[in-house]
Amino acid sequence: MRDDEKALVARLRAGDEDACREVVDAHRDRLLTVIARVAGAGADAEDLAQETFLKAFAAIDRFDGRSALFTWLYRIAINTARDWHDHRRRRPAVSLEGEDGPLVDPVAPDRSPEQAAVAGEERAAVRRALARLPEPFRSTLVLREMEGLSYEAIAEALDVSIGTVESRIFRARCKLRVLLEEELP
Amino acid sequence: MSGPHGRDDGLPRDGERAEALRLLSLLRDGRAVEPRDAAAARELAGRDPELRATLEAWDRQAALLAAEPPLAASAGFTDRVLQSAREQRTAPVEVLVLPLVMRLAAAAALLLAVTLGWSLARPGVLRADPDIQRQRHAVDHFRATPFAADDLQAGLRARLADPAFVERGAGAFGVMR
Repeated sequence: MRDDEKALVARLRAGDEDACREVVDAHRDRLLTVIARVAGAGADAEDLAQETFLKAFAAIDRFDGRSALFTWLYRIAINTARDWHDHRRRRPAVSLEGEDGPLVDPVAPDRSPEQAAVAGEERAAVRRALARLPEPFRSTLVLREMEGLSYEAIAEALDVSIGTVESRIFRARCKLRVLLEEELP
Repeated sequence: MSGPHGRDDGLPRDGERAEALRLLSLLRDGRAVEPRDAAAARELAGRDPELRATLEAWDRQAALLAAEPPLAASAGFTDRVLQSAREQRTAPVEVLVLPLVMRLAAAAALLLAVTLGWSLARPGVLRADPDIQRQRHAVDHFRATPFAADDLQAGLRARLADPAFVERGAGAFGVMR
């Protein structure tokens, strides 16, 4: 852990509200994005992100500093999103297909409306395929392909070995290919 | 049932291809692979159309995933989180004490139920057999002191050394010299 992060964690432990604000401002959008991808459509990602921060602040005394603060936050966020997803799967109310965001790309200057529609359909298909990708492959692939985390950071965030990350990413790519071709016949 | 790429999970049936793909997945992300193994995997991908198709599909899906726009929290999100954190900190009575009181009440109720159940299950009066009553007096009599453990042998030996005791009571307890 870096020295500035150590100081930040010490302030969090002391209940310093400015430190809490710093952490939320620095990580809210990334955590929100990861939560939305892992929990899938229908989740109130902001609620889950808020829950993530509250859990983190409440458990800051248990943060041992072996990993970076943001990977620890990722771990809490992913567990929160997975819990929500599992709970939702047991009590399905609406489809778990990826539906968040616009299905049609905004028309780019260099694209015809037809091209934009195709791109929008591809985006919708990848969201649906990702939503069908089972855990733990989905969260691993999200952290790698969408968040750009290193294998080491993913291992810390998911609390698994590097070898497990390597294997999951490989298998997730293979599975997603099959699912995506089903979504885009 | 298997898909066009081999097994349902997308892994090739062929072990050599599967291993090459595993290595190519690592190489895509800049992971360290033995140079000889990396060269063999790349060589196989160069002459195997199915492997090439898989790698192209991976490129395409990675591009689609990376193109997904990140989300942004709505205005006031940080303030809402901090407000909730504040409420969480200032609600220790509800969060901690109340469950403690409830747990103590549950423990007391359980203790009461067990005690009551035990009392009801027991016979109202315990009546010892008269022989047992007599033996109890004998034990008391032979005990060295009221607080000592029951060592009847030692107690008896001490009493037998006293002629008055022998005269007075040994017969009553059936003790023979």
